[in-house]
Amino acid sequence: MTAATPAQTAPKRPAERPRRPPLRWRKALTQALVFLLMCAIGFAILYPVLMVLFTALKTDAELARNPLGIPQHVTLVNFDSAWRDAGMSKLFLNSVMISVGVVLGSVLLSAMGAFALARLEFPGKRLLPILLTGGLVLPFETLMIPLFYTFKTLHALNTYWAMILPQVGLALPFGILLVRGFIADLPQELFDAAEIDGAGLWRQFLSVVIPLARPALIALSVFQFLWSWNQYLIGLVMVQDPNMRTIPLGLTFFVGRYSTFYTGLAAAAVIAMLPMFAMYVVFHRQIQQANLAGVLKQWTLPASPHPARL
Amino acid sequence: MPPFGLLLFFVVWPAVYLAYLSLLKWDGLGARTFVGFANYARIFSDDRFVLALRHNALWSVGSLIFPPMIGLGLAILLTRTKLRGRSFFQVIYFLPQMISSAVIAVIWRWIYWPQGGTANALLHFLGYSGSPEWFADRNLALLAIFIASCWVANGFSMLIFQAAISSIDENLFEAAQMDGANWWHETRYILLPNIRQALSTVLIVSAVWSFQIFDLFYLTTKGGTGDATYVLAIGIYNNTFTARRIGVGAAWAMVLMLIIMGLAALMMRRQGKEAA
Repeated sequence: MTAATPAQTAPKRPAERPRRPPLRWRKALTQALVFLLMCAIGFAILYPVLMVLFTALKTDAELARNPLGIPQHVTLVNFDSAWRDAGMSKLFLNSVMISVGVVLGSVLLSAMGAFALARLEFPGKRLLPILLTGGLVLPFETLMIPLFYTFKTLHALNTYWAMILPQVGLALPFGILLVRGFIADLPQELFDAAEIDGAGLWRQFLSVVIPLARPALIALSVFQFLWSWNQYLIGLVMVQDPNMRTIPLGLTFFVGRYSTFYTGLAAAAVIAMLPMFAMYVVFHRQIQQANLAGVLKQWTLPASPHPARL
Repeated sequence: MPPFGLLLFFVVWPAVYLAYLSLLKWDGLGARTFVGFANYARIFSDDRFVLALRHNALWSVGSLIFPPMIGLGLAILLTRTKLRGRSFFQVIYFLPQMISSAVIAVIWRWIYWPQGGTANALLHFLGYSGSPEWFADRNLALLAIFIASCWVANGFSMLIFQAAISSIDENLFEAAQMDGANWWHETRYILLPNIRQALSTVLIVSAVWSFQIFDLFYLTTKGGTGDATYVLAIGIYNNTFTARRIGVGAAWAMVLMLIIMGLAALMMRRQGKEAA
């Protein structure tokens, strides 16, 4: 009885319309305002990064004269001194070695783990949701004490392994769940067909899973590289040898030693950021399209009849 | 299966070893003495521990409110307006996520630099004549770190919300427009009800992150400023690697682990119910 028929509501709306400004104008005005708002937010977010970049491109003398503005005489001398005198080259090499190791290890093992989880039955599989959830949420902060003393007992502190292995281990749950979400969507017929063609598990993994899960694997590689490159605490705990430090670690020692050499510090900070920015520009689509929410949705692992209990 | 073996070694084994270490009195080198739950009794009567818990709790309240709200706002701006150059803005808004905490600390120390830093320049511009010493001010240090952290965290919420909003059926919005719905109606009655799953994801992750925060604290104030920025992870690190009381540090870490597991279990059950 209360529901209005179209005939009743229709005359109402046109009567309202003439009081407002013409629709096209209003639309254009809103668009302009939204655009300005977005520019303002963009500037606010970008400002701290620009400030570092500008500082890195100034000489000390210009920084004193013009601390916040755009550099008038662009110089690259700070990059040269950060790279050579302050040892950024060594830090950079360490960071590359470790991040590449972490990406290779975690992506390969995540793909294998996801394949096993999605397609195989094995003893203890019912416990995996708990293990994966635990691994997904437990941060290095909680596990650093036992891991430090385990690696100390194994005489493996101050090595690349001491930084690569814990990162791979901690990254696996996220990786497995990300790739699993992808593999679970593949039709079972693909695997059945491969099996009929005589493909063993390894063969199925290499020629069905790896090629088809490529988008997920690329996204995962990008995430792991990003995470590993910027990782701070694991290095802080596992490595004391200055020759083994990564860029984030080295940067903080830089802060202490060159506390007045702002331009050099800024240059070092830019060197630390640049590879990630470059990667971001190339892969931003993969980052934005990766099904991050899907990883967390799998916490309940729909395969099990009731949510996993801890 | 190598992946699961590695997982056992890096998740289960450390958790068990940690529980064992938390029952010891040990300096990391000498003999280990079994002391039962003495370390736990000790930390619960430690003012710093209570303070750290309070700071973490405060931080989690803040990060359950601000980054999700700002991130949602940005996501709506990016997905519900038909502007050119949207993807450019999208790239800019997410950019801070690419930056290492070590660099973030360097950047924000400059911004908060009491003489001539941008933060105080902005305050002066707004008509405030004082020059607060952000990181060195007991009342401001935690807020200062929180603002720096929001600068980064907004991008994560934005990304999740954006994905959720883009997956809403466009026809719903069109139908609403035909019925004369305005921008607010669309947001309130179509957008928000359809991103509840994403919202719970963002909240879970924010809550879990709030208890493990370490990097920015260690890199700016080291948890200092008269303990105004002491948090759980700083307590774990300091007790273990600075004061060499491994048992005490492990007890701090056990508390952190239980909190995080508790949060995860709570959220898993919620999600399980929603899925059912």
